[in-house]
Amino acid sequence: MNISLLTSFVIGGMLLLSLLYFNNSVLNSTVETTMTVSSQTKIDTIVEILENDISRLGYNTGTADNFITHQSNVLKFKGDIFDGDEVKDLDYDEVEWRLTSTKAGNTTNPNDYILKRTWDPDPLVAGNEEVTEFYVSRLEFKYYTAQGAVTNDRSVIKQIEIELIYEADEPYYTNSNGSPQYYRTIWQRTIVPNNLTF
Amino acid sequence: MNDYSDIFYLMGAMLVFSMLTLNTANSFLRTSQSTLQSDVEYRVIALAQDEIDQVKLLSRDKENLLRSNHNSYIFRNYPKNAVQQYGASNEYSETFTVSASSTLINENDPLVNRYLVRVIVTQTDYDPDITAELTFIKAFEK
Repeated sequence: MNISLLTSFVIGGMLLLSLLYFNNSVLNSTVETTMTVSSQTKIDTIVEILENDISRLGYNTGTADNFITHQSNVLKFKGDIFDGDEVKDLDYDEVEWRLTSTKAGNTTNPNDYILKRTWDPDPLVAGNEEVTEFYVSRLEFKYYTAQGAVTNDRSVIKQIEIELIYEADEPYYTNSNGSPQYYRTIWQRTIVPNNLTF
Repeated sequence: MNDYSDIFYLMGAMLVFSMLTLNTANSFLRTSQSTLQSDVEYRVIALAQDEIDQVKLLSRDKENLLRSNHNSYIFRNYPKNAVQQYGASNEYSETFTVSASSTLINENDPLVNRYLVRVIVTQTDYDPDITAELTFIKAFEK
């Protein structure tokens, strides 16, 4: 074989390989960026609703007993969640945030569980609850007194710590050993609902 | 190959190609850094909001906690490091630097004392540092 032809094959082959490798890197980066932005948007949506609900805990309820259920994975409370919907019998609504042990069936991420938000705009009337489902990896509530001590006594709860971990539905990368990598984003806050400070 | 000019053409093409790949890789790196930073900013802001919420919680009889010359000044030991742990068994953790101050607003209001509370939270694990600054005005009835 002609030495020049052989050299051309070698150089052309190296170029082709580097092009393929480069194409693969661009593809991985694009998937990673898409997954990251998508995850951040999704956690932002959950956080926005969660913050709105918990900030309005106890608002317009006319009672000091605003917690219905308070566990590490469930928080159900009274509060006027939206202004301008006072045509019903009660001014306040009931909201429940529950991290279920049910795996999310339609994502490939094995760490995804169903987070259920149940909003009851009129607690006196049965059957009008609105249920919204999200997929998260973890949600935990912790309850604190005004002095920052952990408590389970609902009468002295003044602060609620929320830890939310969200993982992307699909992997952005799969290791050489076959284990998928999911983008993970975390949010943690300790909210002091205005209406519990009195 | 006919002559050495083909080699020069090939080298030129490889140079252009490598510059293209470098620029693209750089662009993706910047995008990744930017999205990662926005993720950390999210937590930095949340921590700053937590500090503001602690001030919001202060009742009328706790005004001294915001007086910078008082023994019980709430921000006396600031700046401080705040370690946040996440996960079912706290498998993830992140350290932030929190600095905060409160200043009495001199407005000669006969009824109310107002304090300007400024909270700055910084995450130094990234270059450049990721910082959030929040201000809040807390009022106490005299």
